[in-house]
Amino acid sequence: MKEKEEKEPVIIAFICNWCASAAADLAGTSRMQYASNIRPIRVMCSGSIDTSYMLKPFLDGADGVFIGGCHPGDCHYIDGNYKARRKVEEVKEILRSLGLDDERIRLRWISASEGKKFADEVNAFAEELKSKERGRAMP
Amino acid sequence: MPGEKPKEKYDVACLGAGISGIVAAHELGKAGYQVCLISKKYGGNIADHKNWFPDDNCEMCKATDQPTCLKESFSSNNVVFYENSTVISWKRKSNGFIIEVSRGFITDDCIKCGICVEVCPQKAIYLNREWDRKYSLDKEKCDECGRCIDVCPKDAIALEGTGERLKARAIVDARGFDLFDYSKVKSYNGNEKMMSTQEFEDALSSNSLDLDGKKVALINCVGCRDKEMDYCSSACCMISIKEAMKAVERGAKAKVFHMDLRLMGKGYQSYYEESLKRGVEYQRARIGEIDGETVIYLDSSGDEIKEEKFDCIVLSTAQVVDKSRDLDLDTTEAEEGHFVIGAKRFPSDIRDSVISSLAGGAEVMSYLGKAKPEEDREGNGDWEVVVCTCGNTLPVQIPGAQKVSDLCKNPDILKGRKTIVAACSPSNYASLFKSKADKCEIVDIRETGYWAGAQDDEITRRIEIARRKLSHSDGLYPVEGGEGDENKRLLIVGDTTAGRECANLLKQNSFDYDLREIEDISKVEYLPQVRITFSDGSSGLYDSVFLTSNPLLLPIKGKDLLEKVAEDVNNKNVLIMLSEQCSRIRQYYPLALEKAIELREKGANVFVVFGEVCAYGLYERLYTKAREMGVIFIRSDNYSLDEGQIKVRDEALNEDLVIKYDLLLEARPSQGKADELAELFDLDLGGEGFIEELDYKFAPMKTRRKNVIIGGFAVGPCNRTEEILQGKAGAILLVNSVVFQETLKVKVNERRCVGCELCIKACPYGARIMDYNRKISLVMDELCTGCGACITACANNACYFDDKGMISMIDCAMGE
Repeated sequence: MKEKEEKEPVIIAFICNWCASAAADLAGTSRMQYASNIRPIRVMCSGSIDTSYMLKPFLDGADGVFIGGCHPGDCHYIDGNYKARRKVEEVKEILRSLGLDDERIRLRWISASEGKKFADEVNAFAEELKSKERGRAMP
Repeated sequence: MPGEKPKEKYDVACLGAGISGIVAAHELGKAGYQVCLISKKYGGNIADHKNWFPDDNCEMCKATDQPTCLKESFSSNNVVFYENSTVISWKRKSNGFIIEVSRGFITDDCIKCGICVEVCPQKAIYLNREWDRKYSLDKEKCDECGRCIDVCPKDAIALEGTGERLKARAIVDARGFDLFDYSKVKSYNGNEKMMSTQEFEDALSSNSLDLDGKKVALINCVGCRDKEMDYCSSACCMISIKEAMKAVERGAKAKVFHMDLRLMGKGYQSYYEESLKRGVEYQRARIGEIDGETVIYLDSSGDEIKEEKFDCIVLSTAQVVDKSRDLDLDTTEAEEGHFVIGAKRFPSDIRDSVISSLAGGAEVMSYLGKAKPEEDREGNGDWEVVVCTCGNTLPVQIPGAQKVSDLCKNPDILKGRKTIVAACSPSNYASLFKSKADKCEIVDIRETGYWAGAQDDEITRRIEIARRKLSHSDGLYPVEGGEGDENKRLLIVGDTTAGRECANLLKQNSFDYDLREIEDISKVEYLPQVRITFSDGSSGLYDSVFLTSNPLLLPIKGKDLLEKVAEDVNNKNVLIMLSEQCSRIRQYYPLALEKAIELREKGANVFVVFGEVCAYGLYERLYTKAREMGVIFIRSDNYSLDEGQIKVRDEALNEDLVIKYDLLLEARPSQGKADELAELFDLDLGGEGFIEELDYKFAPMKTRRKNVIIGGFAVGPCNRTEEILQGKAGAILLVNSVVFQETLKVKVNERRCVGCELCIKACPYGARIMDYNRKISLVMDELCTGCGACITACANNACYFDDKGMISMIDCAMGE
C-alpha cells in the first residue's frame, strides 16, 4: 500500500439495508454533517457480512471498519445482527492475535430513525481513528 | 444529393410517427433490428386528442416501455428518429430500398443558441417543440434574406434544404390518414360554431368554449359512408359519444346524429349506455343540410323533415387516406418488403392501429429473418460520469463530469458509452438510460441521503458509491435462460386461431416455443420468468407467455352462421339472424355480410334481421355490395321467431312484417371465457369475461405482468382477420417481453453444508431446496433475490455471496 502522508483515516462501513442505511439517508435528508471518511457499502443484513469481508479492508489499508446493524430484536431476518456481533468478536480476536488494535472495528446498533446517531457514531469513530497513531492499521 | 451513396443503412425504415409508427419502430428496435423512424409530425393524429375513451386518461406511454411521456418525445433502443423530416421518394434496389429524405433547412449542427431567431425579420425560425434538438425553418415564411446564415455560429442553416439518402431492407408505411376537410361538403354551411371533433376538443381543453346551457349537435360520418368514400372510419362513433359526454359534463345538451352506432368493441356498449344515463340524446339521421345554426334532417321514423337549432355543431370527420395510396383490404404485402400498417391499412381507432402495427412488425420480422444477436454491449474504457442538471436547476460542479441540462429528453448522448449517470428520479428513467448506454449506473442526486445541502462532494461521494456498486455488479451473472441466452423459451396457451398464427410466425423465425392448451396447465409461478407445471407433472420455465382462448358460445335455434351451407338455396328464403348482442360484436358482422353475399349469388332471397350494422372500416363495402345485390336488411330489436317464419317490426318502415324462411342461419352469441386463464395466471378479469389489458387503447395486448401477453378471445371480441393480426402481434410481443434478472446470488459451500435446513426456513422466496440424496441445501438461481437471509441463518457459514462482487466492492471503496 502506498504510504501517503497526513491522510484522513479511511473507514469502510458495512451498513444494513433496513436500518443503518436508512439512517444514513435520514442523516443526509436532515442535512447533518458527518465525516466524509466513511465509504459505505450497503448490505442486506449485517449478518451477511462474512468475516473475510471485515478483514479485507484492513488488508487493503483501511483505518477502520464500521458495521451498522439493527437493534437487538429488530433484525429483519430475525437474528442476523446477533450473528454479526459474533463475527465481529471473531474478527477482533484475529486482530488482537495479529497485534493490531481491536478498536479499529466497530459494531453499532442504529435504527432507521436514528439519523443523528448514525452521524454521531461515524464522527466519533473518525475522530477516534484520527487520534490514534497516524497511518494505517497495517503497514 | 442524387447519385450520392446512401449514408446510413437500416434494416427497417418506418414512415410516419403516429401511434402505429411509434409502436412498430419500438418493437422492431427491441427485437434487434436497426430502425429509422421518419416523421413529419410527431404523434400524428392522436397528438391532437386530449381526452380518451374510456376514462379520459392518456396512457400513451404504455404503448412502449418508455418511462417518459410518449406524447412529448420518443426514443427507443436501435431506433434512429428523423424528426421533422419527409420522405421524398423511394425506389427499389436489390434487396432493399433507397429512400430520399428531406430533413428540413437546419442541419444537425444546430446548437439551439437562438441567435437566428432574433435576427429573422419574418419570424420563420422557430422551435417546433420545446425539447426539439434543433430549430425548424418555415420555408413559406422565409424570404431568404440570409441574415440567419450570416449570424449562425455553426453554419447550420441551409436554405436550399438538407437531405439524406438512406438504405433500408424493408419499409413500414404508417403514414396514417388525414382528416376530411368538411368545407368540401357544399350543403353544410355552418357558421363559425361549426367545427370538427378535433377542433372541438381543442376548444374544450383550452376552455375557450362556453357550453353551459347550450345545445351541441354531434354529426357522424361526415365525409365517409357515401358513394365516393365507401368505408367507415371505425373510430368516429366513439369519438362522438366521448365528446358528447364531455359537452354534457360542461352543462350542455348534446345530441348525436348517427347513421348507425357502431359499438363493436369491448366496453363500447356500456359506455354508450352510460352516456344515455347522463342525458346524451341520439337521433338516427343522415344530416342533409346545415344552414347557419340549423340542422336539417329527415326523421328516421317518418317522412317528416325536421329543423333544429344548435349553438354548436360538431362534425365527426372521416379518416381520409391520400388518394395516391389507396385503401385496400390486403395491402399488407402489396410489394415485397413494403408493409402497410395502422390506419392506412384499414381505417381504425387507436387500439386497432396498435394491434395492426404490432402485427406489421411481426410480418417484417419474418420477412427479414431473425435479427442478428446484438453485439456484446460491454463498452470499452473507463466509466464516464454524466450529470444531469435538470434544466440547469441543480448547480452541480463535479470535476471531470459531463453536464447535460435535460438528460431525460436527450438520452441519446449516452449511446455507446459506459457511464455513471447522476440525475433526478432515476427510478423513472433508469430503464431508458440503461437501454441507451452500453453500460450505465444511475445515481439519484435528488434522493434523500447524500443530496443534503447541495454539496458537490456529497454528490461526488454518491457517484463514488455508484462506482463501487459497479465493480460489485461486475460479479453479477444473468440467470440461465435470461439475457444472453439466444433461444428464448416461449409458450403459447390455447390452440386458437391467434395461437396457431403466433406459433406459425415463431416457427418461421425459428424461435423455440411450446403450444399448450389451458387444460394442460396446473400451476403457474412467476419467478420472474414463468414457471409452468403441467398436469402430467412435467414443468417448464418460460420467458414469456401468450394467452389466447376460444369464446364461450351460447345455444341457438337455427344453423350456425359459421357452418357451410351445402344445400341448394336457389329461390329459397334464407334468414340471417343477428341478435342485438351479436351484431354489435365485431366478430359477426363481416361474416354475416360475406355469407349473405355468397347465398345471394347462389340465388337465394336473403333477409338479414339485425340490431345494428357494424360494418366498420372497409367492411362497409361488403354492406354496400350486399344491398346492391338485393339482400334485404331489416333493423329490429322486436321480433318473434317461430318455426318457418318470423314476425318482425321493421323500424324503418314502421310496419310489422312476416317473413317465411326455408333456412335459418343464426349468429351464435358468444362471451369471453377467460376467467380460468385469469385465475391461473393471476391476471385481472375485466368486463364481459375477458382479461383486462394494461391499457385499452395503447397496450391492448399487454397485461400488468410484463411477460404475459394476451390475444384473441382472451382479451376481447374479434373477428377472424383480427384474430390473425393479434396472433402475429403476439409473436413479436412474445419475443420482446423477456424479463431479465440481474441480482446477486447466494452460493453454497457444499463441504460446509450439513443439511440442517435452517436456510430453507429462512428464505423468504422459497429459493432454497434440499437435495436429500446428498443432504445438501441448494439454491434455485431463478428464485434467489440475493437478500442474504440464508447467509444470516446459516450456522455453518456454508452459504455465501459470490465473493467476487463483494470483494471488488471493497476494493473499489479502498482504491483511489
